[in-house]
Amino acid sequence: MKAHALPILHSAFADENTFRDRQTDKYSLLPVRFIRLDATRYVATNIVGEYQVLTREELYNLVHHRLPMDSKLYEDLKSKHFLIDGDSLVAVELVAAKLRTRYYQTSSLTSLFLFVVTLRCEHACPYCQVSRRSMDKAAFDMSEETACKAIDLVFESPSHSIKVEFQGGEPLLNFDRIKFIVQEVERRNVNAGKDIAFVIATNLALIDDEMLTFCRLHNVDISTSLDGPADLHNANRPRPGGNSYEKTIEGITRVRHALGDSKLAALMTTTKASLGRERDIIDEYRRQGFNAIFLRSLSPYGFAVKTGAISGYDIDAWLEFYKRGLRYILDLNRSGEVFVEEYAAIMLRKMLTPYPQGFVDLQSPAGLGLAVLAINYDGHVYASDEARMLAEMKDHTFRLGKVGEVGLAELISSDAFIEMLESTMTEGMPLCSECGFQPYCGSDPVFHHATQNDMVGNKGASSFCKKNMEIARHLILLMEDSPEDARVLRSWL
Amino acid sequence: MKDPETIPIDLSIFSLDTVKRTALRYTSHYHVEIRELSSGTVEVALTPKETVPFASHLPRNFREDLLDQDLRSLIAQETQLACRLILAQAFSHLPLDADVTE
Repeated sequence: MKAHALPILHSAFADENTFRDRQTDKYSLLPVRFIRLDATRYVATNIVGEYQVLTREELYNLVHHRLPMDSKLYEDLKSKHFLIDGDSLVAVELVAAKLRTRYYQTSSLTSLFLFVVTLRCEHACPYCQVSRRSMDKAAFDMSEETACKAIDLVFESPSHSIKVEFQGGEPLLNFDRIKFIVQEVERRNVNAGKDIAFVIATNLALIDDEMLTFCRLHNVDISTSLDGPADLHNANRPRPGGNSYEKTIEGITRVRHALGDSKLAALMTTTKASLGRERDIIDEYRRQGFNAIFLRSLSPYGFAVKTGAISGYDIDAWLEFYKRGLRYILDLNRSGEVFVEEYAAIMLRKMLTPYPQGFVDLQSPAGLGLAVLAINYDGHVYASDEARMLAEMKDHTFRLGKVGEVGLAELISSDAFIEMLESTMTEGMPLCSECGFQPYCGSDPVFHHATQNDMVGNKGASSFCKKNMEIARHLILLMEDSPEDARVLRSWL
Repeated sequence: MKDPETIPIDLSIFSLDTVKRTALRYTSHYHVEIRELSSGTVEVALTPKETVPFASHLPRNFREDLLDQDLRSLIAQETQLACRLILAQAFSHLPLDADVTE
């Protein structure tokens, strides 16, 4: 059938009937979701994530077509594509263009490949779910043969930009394999011509001059772990000698000297001991010359929690930690110091720009497999780093195949992969599909499988859901109620 | 088991679909049962799960959520076509006025 009801949007000029028939006293709604913001206000979002805070009366008036067309609110809603009237039919095309931009990266397929070059580690962090203290190289290191097959997989990706990240265990314990992979990728890329970046995720305890020289020559970035000041970091990350903090700080200095500030990033993990110490942690990052921090929660599942090696905490406790930390960071910025909280920055970019963020957990469909693949030391391929961690607990639900046995096309067209992907599309999920925060959020099938034995899960009982909804709500409240905080938050885009 | 809180709902005001969608929001903290009271009336029974303290304002909250859900239904009805148009325009290479019969 012909879509007769559609306006002719592709003509340069509309015919005269378009103007003669225009009804100036009526408007039509465009797709909109909403959720309560607080006791008196709602936040409404459109299909591309633009938002408007409304009172209950304003929301009811909007939906029941009782908004005065000469009001400022009407103009705001019209300019943000919540409604169309006789003057704004082109809004449909604009919204479609923004939507296409928002989903653009999904079409580029896998761009991040995690190479788990060894499970061995000289640390014994209680929250780590994968590392082995064994020094048996044959048992837990990636072989050259496996590495070659994994590189085959990398070059099957249609993505022009590729990131190869080395994980462990402690990947520097198998530095020879890292060197081999980097050089082999570079050799093959002479013909492929991709834009390739390398990152080593390391605790830095073992880094030496030879490694740094290699990293400098081959443009390899370093990502390290810093959990806070010495007492907290060393408690979280025990190693022989009890000097993880000292080793990390020494390593940070050496990396900066050899590679430059821009080649180093740090990540923190929140343990129960971290709660209440948000200022100490943030101040430690400032002391070490970082101008950003990613306040991360510990996954409330996994080997460490299950065995009682570490006490978990509920998401409410973490959210209090997060909000206090964010408050401190906002105050630092308001006093003139530029310092960014990365998770807020990602969500703000989703709220205030149409551009995709590439953050695996906060997109629909999720980035598992689509954006990232984790290749374990033994060649098994998983949909994410968390998925291979789950496999160490003997749950192989998210194992997609093995390098050398299946190609990338086969991996991402398998029934298992498609089923997993479908379970992450929040546009069609119960509760998510109607949630005002849907454009900012995502779904983590590994998390929900691990905590509810269901890849979709009951969102009302999901701490993943609670965490992201509460952060989105908090950020919008800050922007609505404090012009000074809004100014700082917008500066992070 | 704790006693349920019961909320009668007139189906001439709210659709059964709206009632079910609202009740779904309560399933994480309550056992939910929807039963027919008489023709045109249903009763939603919410029984707190073990770890959930009884909330005295539960009926009021449910009715407010019901009103919100009713708005969502109105929005869905009105914007269904627009939503399809936007998706078609975004992800197909066809113009909106294309003849798609062939």
